[in-house]
Amino acid sequence: MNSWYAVLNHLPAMLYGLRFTFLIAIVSLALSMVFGGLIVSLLRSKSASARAIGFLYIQIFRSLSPYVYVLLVYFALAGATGWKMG
Amino acid sequence: MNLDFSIILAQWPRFLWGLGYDLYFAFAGFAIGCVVGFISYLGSASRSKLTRAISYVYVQIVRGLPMYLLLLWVYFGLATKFGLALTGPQSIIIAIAIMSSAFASEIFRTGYNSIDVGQIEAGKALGLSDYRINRTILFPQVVRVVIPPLLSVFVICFKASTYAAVIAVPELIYAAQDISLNQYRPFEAYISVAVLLIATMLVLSLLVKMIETRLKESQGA
Repeated sequence: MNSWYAVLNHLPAMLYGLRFTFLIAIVSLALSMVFGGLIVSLLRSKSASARAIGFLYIQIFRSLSPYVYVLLVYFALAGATGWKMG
Repeated sequence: MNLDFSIILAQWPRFLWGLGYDLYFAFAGFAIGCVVGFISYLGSASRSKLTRAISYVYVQIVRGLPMYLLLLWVYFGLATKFGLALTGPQSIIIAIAIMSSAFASEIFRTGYNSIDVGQIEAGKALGLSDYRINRTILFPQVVRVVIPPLLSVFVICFKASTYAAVIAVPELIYAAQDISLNQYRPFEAYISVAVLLIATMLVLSLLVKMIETRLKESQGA
């Protein structure tokens, strides 16, 4: 049962981490609303090509797990553009 | 930007093997998850309050945990606490099974709830046993209701199987990570993985749509 002491000792660090989790979730939600709004406007557009772009965007981006996104953004995008992300 | 996909093409068999592993983990985890989910549903439909509570708590806890945490808990947590030295593939299959069982349990519950109670009463009035009511009246209808959402759960399982790379299982993402580190071609490696995953997901989604349409047609007939 001693292992629980190690967890309790690190409780402040874990709570600090939880704060980051919430922060990431809130910022991501806000950004997703902006992107989502744009996609809805594409889907409701009169232009067939705009609707096709909206449809493709949804089909492509809902196919991947968050883990793949993180790798794609952090390594692939950084490797391709040279943009060093935190 | 200098793109070189020749390295990826040279490693193509590794990618395909990785994709095969992902599909295998998803299928195995999903199959076990369906069985556990059905047991969990039986618990939630039990007359015993305790069994119902256990089933409810299980579903709520599992649904609240991210897949990443479940996998780490199975692979590292079970090994250190209970001395269960699970291999990477065993861990990912168990983690997927736990995750999908919670979804499957809720799907079975919805499926059985969608059937009119009058049908059970009619079966009883005809003198059928509980087993025969379940086998001949309820089960065929429930299967038709639960198959489409269960197939969607399989798609979720497939996406979840990519987390296996975290515990060094040689699946698709792991192959890409390896190529990315050794050849320093992260963009090409991860883009190839994304293309493969998207193509597989599109095929799976199409299959789900086809099965749904077939089921609707058979219900209409």
